This record gives sequence, C-alpha cells and structure tokens, in this order.
Amino acid sequence: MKLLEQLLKELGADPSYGITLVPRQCCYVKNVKSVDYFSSEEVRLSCGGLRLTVEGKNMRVGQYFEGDLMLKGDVTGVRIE
Amino acid sequence: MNNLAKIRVTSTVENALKKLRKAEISVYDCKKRGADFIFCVKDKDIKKVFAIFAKPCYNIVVERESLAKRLLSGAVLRVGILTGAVVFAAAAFLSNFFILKIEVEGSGAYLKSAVLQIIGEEGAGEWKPFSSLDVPVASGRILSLPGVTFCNISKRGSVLSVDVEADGHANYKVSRDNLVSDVSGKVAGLAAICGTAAVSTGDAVSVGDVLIYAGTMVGDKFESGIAVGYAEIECKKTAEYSAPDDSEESIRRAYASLLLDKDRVISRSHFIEPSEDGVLIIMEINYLHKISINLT
Repeated sequence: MKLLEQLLKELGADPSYGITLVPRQCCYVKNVKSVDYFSSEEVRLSCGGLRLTVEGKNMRVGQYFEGDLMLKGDVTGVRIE
Repeated sequence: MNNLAKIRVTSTVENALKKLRKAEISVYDCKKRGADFIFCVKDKDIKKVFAIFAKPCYNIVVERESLAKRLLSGAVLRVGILTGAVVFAAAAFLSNFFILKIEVEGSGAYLKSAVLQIIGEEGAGEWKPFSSLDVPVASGRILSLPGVTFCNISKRGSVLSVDVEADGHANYKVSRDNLVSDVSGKVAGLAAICGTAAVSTGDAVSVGDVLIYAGTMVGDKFESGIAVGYAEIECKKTAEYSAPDDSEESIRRAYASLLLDKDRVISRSHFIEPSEDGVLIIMEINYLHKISINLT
C-alpha cells in the first residue's frame, strides 16, 4: 500500500478516487456520487467527473456508504469514460 | 452481520441508492428482484429508511428482521416459557441445598429406623438444609450401633444417602428347613431353642432323619416356623489305612486321614494287620458330630 500511495503522490493523482478490482469476485469503487444504472450484468456509476461501467454476472451491491461502493459477484471488467 | 434487517422496496435501484446515500445510510447486500430493490440496513437505520420511502408512497416492507431483533421478539413472545424455565432452574438449583429424601443403604439397612432417628436428632430431615446435619457426630453415633462396621453419609442431589455396612450377622439368612441329620449314630445331646425336637438323647438316627422340626404343634395343628438349635450325634467309624510299617508316624498319618477336623473324638483304637505292601492299620473311632440350624 505504501508503494501505491507513493506512486499516486508522484503522479499527482487524487487518492480519493480509486478502483480496486478483484477479478470474478468484487469491485471496490471510491467516491461514488450516484448509481446511474444497476442490473446484475452491468452497473453504471458516476464518480466525480468520471463515468464508470462495471461489467460482470450476478452482481449485487455488497455495501454502499458515504461514496464507498462494493460490488460483489463475477466482475469481469471496468470501463472508464 | 447479525444486526442487519432485510428490506424490500418497489423502486429502481438507482433511485433507492440515491436516496439512501443522501440520507447517509449504510446499505448492504443490495440486489434487484423484478421491480423490487432488496437491501439490508442496520437496525438503527430502519426508521430512517421508512421515513425516506414513505413519500411518495413506496411499497416498502421489512422482509426479515435482524437476528438480534428476531431473538428479542421470540423471547418477548415466549416470556411465559422463559419465566417457567428460569423458575425451574432456580428451583432445581435451590433444591440442591435441601434434603428432600433420606435413603439408608448397604448391608446395615435393617437398622434404618435407628439410623433415621440418629440422623433426625443430629439435625437432618426432609425440607431441612444439608448444612444443618452434623455429619461427623451422626457418623460416629451410627458406627456405635451394634454390628455396624462402616458408615458414610453423602449428598446425592437432594437425597441424603446413608451407607451403613454391618458385619456378617446382617447377611445371615434364616433357614426355614428342619434340622436333618447328615450322619448315622446315637443322639448324644440336643437343644431345640426354636421349633420342636423330633428325637431325644439316646435315640438312634440315620442320615436324613429329622432332628428338630421347623414349627410347633398348637393343639392338633402344626404351625410352621423356624428351627433354631443344635444336635450332637455320637458316631462310630471304622477305617483302614495302608502304611509301609507300623511306626508312630504311620499311625499318626492313619488318624489324620480320617479328616475329623470339626468333630470331637471320644475314643479311638486301632489294630495292625500285615499286608503285601507293609501293614494295614484298621482304626475304630467314636466321635461327636455336631450340626446346627440358624445358629451363628
């Protein structure tokens, strides 16, 4: 985690935005402003100025609180627009 | 998490999550089922959730309460059973300190009345606490009863168990048979403490003859009872013993071979005849054979 923090710092990235993906298990997204679309195969999220599309199967929201969203299920990919 | 309640609301996932996020409610395990959105929230947030979805008339229900709440509801519904169980447990616990029954066991159980009297005098009794019994003093007094060799007072649940062991007398079993002669001879003496004497001194008896009847004649009727007494029968025995010679040792061995350990010898004589292997010691012996019944 220290390495990640160092890299983010060097890149000048905002650490409050981040996506953690564990393929076929879960996807953790920070700073989610809204859930724009939800189905078990696709979830569209608004995170600040970004729009994320999480794809997978049998997806469900494991936890959603204060902008932190955990999607559980067979997550196959994340697309950023 | 056990403190999560499952809620079903007829709404789009997007709208519902938007409202929940705005209200800063933490939601868990969300999924879509047809037109319904199912999610879990902590117990403390249920009221807030209902407030959010109260307008404009969302169809919202709690599908399943949290485990803690279900247990609490179950306990409230079964308050009678739970109270009964608590009262029973308390009664069982308290009854452990009191004597509800006194048992006298062991071979000295025939002394039950005396034992119970001692136990009572030393503070024990039904519905009295165990602590009121002076165990060492009670044990000592029970041990001083005739024939008692061992005494142990113990608590077994709410039962006071007194184990009393007495000597062989306690295990003695009364015979209800007649005293019957097991030898042939002449009655030298007879004592019938109980029952009826069947023979007199000087009478000749054979094996199987009754010496004392277990009962008494009352008028013309024989009332059965027990025979207590003994008889001494004078018997005569002749025996032969082969020995290599007629030495003192051979004669001693010859008499020893008669095995008259319990019988009292009145007179004895012997004569010796030569044989092919040495000598033949021919012995004639008069002895008193004693038999008894229900005497220790």
